[in-house]
Amino acid sequence: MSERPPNRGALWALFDGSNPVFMTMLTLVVTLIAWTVGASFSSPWFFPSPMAVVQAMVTLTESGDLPKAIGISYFRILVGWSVGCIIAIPIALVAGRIAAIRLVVEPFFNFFRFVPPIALLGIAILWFGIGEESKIAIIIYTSLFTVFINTMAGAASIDESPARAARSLGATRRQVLLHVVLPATVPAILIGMRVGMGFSFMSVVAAEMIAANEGVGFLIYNARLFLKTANAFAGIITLGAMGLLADLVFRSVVRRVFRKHALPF
Amino acid sequence: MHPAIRMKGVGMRFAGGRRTPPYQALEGVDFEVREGEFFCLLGPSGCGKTSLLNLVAGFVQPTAGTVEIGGRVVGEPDKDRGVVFQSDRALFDWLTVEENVAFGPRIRGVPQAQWRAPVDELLRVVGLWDHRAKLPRELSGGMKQRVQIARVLANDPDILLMDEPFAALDAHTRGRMQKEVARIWEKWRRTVLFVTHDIAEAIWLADRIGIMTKGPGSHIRAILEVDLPRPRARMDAAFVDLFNRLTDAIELEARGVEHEGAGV
Repeated sequence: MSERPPNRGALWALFDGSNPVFMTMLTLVVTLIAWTVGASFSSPWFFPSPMAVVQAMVTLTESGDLPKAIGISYFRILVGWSVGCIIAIPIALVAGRIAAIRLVVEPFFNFFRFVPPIALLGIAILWFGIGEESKIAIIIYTSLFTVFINTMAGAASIDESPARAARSLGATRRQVLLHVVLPATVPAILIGMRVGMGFSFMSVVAAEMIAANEGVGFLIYNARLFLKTANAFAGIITLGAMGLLADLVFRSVVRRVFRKHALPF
Repeated sequence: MHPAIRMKGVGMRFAGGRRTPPYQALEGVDFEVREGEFFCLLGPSGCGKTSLLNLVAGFVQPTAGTVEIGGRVVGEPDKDRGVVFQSDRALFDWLTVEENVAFGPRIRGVPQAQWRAPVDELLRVVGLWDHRAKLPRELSGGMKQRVQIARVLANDPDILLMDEPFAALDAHTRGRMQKEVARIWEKWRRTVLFVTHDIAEAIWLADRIGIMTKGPGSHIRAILEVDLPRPRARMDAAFVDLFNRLTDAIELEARGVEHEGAGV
């Protein structure tokens, strides 16, 4: 390398983007300071300070409310999202490869794309009751559509030549689907699963706000009744952290399972 | 004895869609490839060479005439006709070099004891032994095409179909690959149908060269014997003479000049 960055001292080097950990920490600290300063101009019922939120978190954790809410929300997402993926992937794979099936299925999906999961909550409660089933049904619906659309589009757009190569190597149509189309579609499927997980968080919170007495969504919404604004903030931050953790776990598991694939994340 | 490949009055018409008009790619294609012969299809770009190869492979069906392999009409693609594609995307990206090469025997349920030795030997023959644990995306273009060739040979097909396999390679690599293919073929001696638009490549490799006319409605204008001794390492006078004759013929085709029966 002939081109070297000009030597502007060690301090400056911290800020040029070459140290991502430092930059992230810096952003975090600056945000917290700005938040504290902003909150000092307001009342704790309107805009609580970071310290008040941390305090609320500690109290909620000690009372067991927050861990319980996290557990129940994670449970709903995990079950709903897994079931959604398990239903969506095989059908979408076949639909992506067989034009006739795609033509039958696609209009429905294009229609329901514009129906947000929460619009179905009332019907879900009528059908499945106010227990876990209705919430999980909403999550299934949410992730199923995202995963389905991504998988179908992925399977429909893969390069034709590996499938043809496999056929001339003696693979049957079913073997091609299982050993060529499926692995070739893995990146698209995983993107769909990841996005579907994000949407599942949104749906679970909305469902818990409207029709539940447990879960992080309920905790956030319930806080307003007692003007415990700090609790709402604590719930929101918890939610973000839960999503981040879930995504992190998903990515590290997937990278390990699909070591040979070129994954887009 | 049936010829390895025979086409009789083959036509290929693409139906076209709402915005694309129908297209008659091939019309009245008649030719035979003999058992164990290296046959090159040579023609200007867009003349339907690949369509013709896809017909032999069984990827598409002709809209007229018949395609026969060893006397039987071609149906679905099968292991008796191995294909080397122009695009290196035909490799299985998620499998190592070794797994790509062993794909055919494994998918057909051949026990490992039977395919292990041939696969290992092929990896050595194409010079990929040291790279066998790599993934396709870690290889150069020339190496990827070697994987394709090894993958097909590991399946031991009766006929090898090659669709401009070296068109995307640089000149130096292409030259080396041509020599390797010639060397492998001398040892292996199966029927090869090799599609190319590269005149020198056709002369280096072929026993006979079929010259295709420009589309639409392409067919085989003439078939030329390449009577040069093997291995063909140098461009001697006979080579140059043949090269010039083919160049003129192809040029006429590309310009679309009608010269039915002109002697090449």
